[in-house]
Amino acid sequence: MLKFIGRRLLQMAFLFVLFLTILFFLLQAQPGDISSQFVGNPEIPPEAKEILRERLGLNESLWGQYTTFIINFFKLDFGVSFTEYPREVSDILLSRLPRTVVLFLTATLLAYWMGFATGKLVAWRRNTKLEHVVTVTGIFLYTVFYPWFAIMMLWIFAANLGWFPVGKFITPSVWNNAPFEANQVFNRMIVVAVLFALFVGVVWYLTRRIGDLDRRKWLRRGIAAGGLVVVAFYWMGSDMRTYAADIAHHTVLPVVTLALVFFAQITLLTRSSMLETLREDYILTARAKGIPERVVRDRHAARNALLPVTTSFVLALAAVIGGGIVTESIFSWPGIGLALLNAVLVEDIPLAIGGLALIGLLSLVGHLIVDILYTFLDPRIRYS
Amino acid sequence: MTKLSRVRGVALLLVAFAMIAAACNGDDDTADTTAAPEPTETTAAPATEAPTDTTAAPSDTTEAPPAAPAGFTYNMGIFQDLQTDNFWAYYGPDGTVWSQYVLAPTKPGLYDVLYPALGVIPDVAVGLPPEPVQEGDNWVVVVDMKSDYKWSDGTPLTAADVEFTFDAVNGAALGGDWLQAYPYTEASNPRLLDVEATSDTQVKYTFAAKPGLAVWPHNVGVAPIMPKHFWEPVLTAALESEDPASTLYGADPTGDPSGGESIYAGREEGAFAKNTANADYYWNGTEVTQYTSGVLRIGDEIFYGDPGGDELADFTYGPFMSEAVFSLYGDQTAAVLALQEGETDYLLNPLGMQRGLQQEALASENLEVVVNAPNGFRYLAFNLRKSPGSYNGYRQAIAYMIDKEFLTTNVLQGVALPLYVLIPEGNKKWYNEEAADAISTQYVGLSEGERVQAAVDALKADGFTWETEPTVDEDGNVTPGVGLIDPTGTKVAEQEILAPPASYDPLRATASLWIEGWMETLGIPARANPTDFGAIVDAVWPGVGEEIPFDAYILGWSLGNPALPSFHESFFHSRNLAEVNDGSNSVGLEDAEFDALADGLLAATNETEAFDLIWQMEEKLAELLPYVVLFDTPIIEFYNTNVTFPFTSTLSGIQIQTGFQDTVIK
Repeated sequence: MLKFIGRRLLQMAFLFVLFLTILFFLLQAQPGDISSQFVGNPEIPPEAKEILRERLGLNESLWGQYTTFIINFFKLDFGVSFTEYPREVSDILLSRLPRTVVLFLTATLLAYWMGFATGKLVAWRRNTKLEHVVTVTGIFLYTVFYPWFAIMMLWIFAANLGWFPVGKFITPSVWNNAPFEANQVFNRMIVVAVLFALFVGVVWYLTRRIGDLDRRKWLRRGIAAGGLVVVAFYWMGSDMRTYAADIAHHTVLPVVTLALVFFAQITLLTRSSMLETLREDYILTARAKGIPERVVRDRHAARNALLPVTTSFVLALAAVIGGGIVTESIFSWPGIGLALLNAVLVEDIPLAIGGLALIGLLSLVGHLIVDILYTFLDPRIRYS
Repeated sequence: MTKLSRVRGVALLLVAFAMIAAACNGDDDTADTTAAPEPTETTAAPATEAPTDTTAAPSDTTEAPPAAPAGFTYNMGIFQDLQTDNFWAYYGPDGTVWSQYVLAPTKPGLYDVLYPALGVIPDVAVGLPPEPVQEGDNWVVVVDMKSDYKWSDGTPLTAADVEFTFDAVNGAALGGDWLQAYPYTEASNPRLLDVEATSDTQVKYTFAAKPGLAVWPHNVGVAPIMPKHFWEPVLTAALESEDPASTLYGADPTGDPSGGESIYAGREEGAFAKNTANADYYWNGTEVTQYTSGVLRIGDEIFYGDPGGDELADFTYGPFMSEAVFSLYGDQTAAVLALQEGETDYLLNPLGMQRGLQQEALASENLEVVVNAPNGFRYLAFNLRKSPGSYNGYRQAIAYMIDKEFLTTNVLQGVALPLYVLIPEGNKKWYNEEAADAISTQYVGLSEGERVQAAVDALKADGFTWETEPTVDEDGNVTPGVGLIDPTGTKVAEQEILAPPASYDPLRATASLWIEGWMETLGIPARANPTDFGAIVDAVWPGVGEEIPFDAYILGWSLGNPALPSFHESFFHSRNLAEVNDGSNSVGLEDAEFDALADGLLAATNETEAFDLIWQMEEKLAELLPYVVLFDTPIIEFYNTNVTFPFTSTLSGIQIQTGFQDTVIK
């Protein structure tokens, strides 16, 4: 296993350099450069244009820019943004990261949890009304034109019903003279969520050997609910509570919108995977042995149906960082996706490369994790 | 039914209920479109007479109105984050219009340009700008300043602040708009040699040569003034650093005092920026009346003649708001929803809103739509460095062939307005309707046959021939020509028209295809090539000393200070050739007569002279035709009816006033 991981790491390093190279030259191959923006401005005299070119390093040769970039990248120096000069690319990405993580991670986790549970259930209850309703709804949500759907969600729940704000991630009046920056609150929210997830994970692990399934289920749910109460009390006692509540309020609509689309995708994926698994001989054998239906469903069928869903989940987690350009634009959520879009549009090459490289790196790591996870989820898989 | 199913059932019912409720709610909110307010069009007016004199006594500055802001929050929507909140950087090469909306109202100048009349008025200075006088080899301007103008922290604004600003720009070698505001470089024409505070209330500018109006006061006089007491330590540290300009641009601006109507109060990146009202704003409570005759009454002072006649605008300076919040939106549709909901009062956008959203805004009873003329134009440019673009008859022939009325009305379906001169029609002060009409008359209303005949005549007059000449029969039917041959006997090669692709600008992309067709009718092999904006810029401005090979291209300009348009010099003077100094003269026009007119404008010391020179340049350009000015689109803006602006009919729209932070009422 270690040899396999070592080999994969080497392959990843090679692939990553290749990826960076292609990325760099593709972006450089875009017509024009950043100076296109100010060349067209008659108010800026020629000497000012030259000063700007020099300051932005546009006078270096392409090869010089490339080698500097590769070396700097591995020193974690992504360079300086053209459009937010002289701000570091890493600083921009780090400032955008918490917002994207909160939005997309929440939506992804919610969608996968609900999607897997629903998909499992509808596959088990084949040819019932529930399956038909969920399948049709799932197909609608999966195939819906997402920008339209997001605008409709805004129109219905924000503009007309007024339940949620029309986009943005904070309310200026609440944040007037706030003692915290939004990212501090985002970071705190992430830390609390991670600690809660770890707590739940530990509880799951420690209770895994309880034989009585009902007892185990209610014990887990009870402890998790207790954990949630503790989290709620923590926030109520925190001086960040108003600001966290404001962010949470803004998060609901984009999370629900995204989660509905992801949910449909995962439900359909799980359903088809479960249906395939349910045809396997070992399911028939399990039933023949008189194992309770719920155990057959959850332990024998669902666990095997989990493989493609896990692949999709891990890769989706990697893609979380990239965010969704459409979602972030429509909901005015300034995360990594929006930063990337703007960077590409205005040819802010260092920022675009920094963002895309981060996504590429996380995708490669995601693939590695999937490979390793497979060996745990399916004991038949062994890497030599 | 299981618990899960029941939960889902309830959820589905809730969603269905929500959609029904929203639909019902939406119906209630939807106004009858026939009752919706109509967009207001900016109409052109004859050019006003040039201002003559100041007739009023200086105001009694001891009676500056106290009036504190009334205390409402003015919410505006923006579409891009601020690139910087440091005023030095904003006015330097890193400035964007988004930073301008927030920061521009925080710094005063000696003078200001008053919209919509576009008259120069005193801000920190007393009275109108004095004339430059010769002093030895140099030219000087001595300006008296108000004695009770204060920064928002209570520190008096003095001549030392003006001197400090120049010293900072010069010492740190700042670029961008600072170069125009304080033209300190050797290449500047004329160079600003020194700014000296001769007393607390008097400042002396020394120029190397006599500055024309375009320099003084229209650039130097309206330049921003920075507070010395706040920035001096920062500048000292910057000058000791390796890169003073970058150090200054990167300095923390927290606490930077304001001399304008708004004080920058911070921002949350990606979410909003905020200004608070400057309760001690000097002009707070001052009543302003602008007359169509060009006369301006500001408080007790009257400028440019005697008041009377029709009023152009009448308002009182605030600020009446307590704070201005600039919320960031990533999408125009979401921003319009927020505007309808009253989350925002006005959307700031330099390009105006998408026309597709106009119907929705018009249908909303709490939204107002205003349409204003842009301060810019889109144009077809020729390369005058090589055949056939170098022949005047060739350019004239294509100008004849382009039926702009047909193009804008029938093809572009009325979204654009046809143009024939460079000065925008909406610039009421500098637009000369009579002269513009005289220029356009030769093109407007011609039939296709008449256009082809005029074009053929123009080509023949310059010595062009054809393999098969285009013909027009008695009924006006046109037979296209084939194989145009230039006066040297060389067959004209395929002419490439570079134009932005439809994804970037469908109007210019469509226009390029029609122009290609019209050129082919004349027997000119032509190909419209949809090209990325950056690639067009690269082809047109390849760099100093590089060959410039393009045949023709279509781009657009957003123009600068409309109070004295000096862009003709930038675009067409031979000293600004793209291949020589990367200047804006991309077409390669080198015409001594035009150069003399452009130089005359830079040296013109009164507006009558400048006006005359501008229209002489327009006439010369109509003859030389380095550009065929095509069209431009109006600026469409929306605002919520809960706010009142002092005027809405103005060049470039409300956004150019940074949302009227000094006068808006809610």
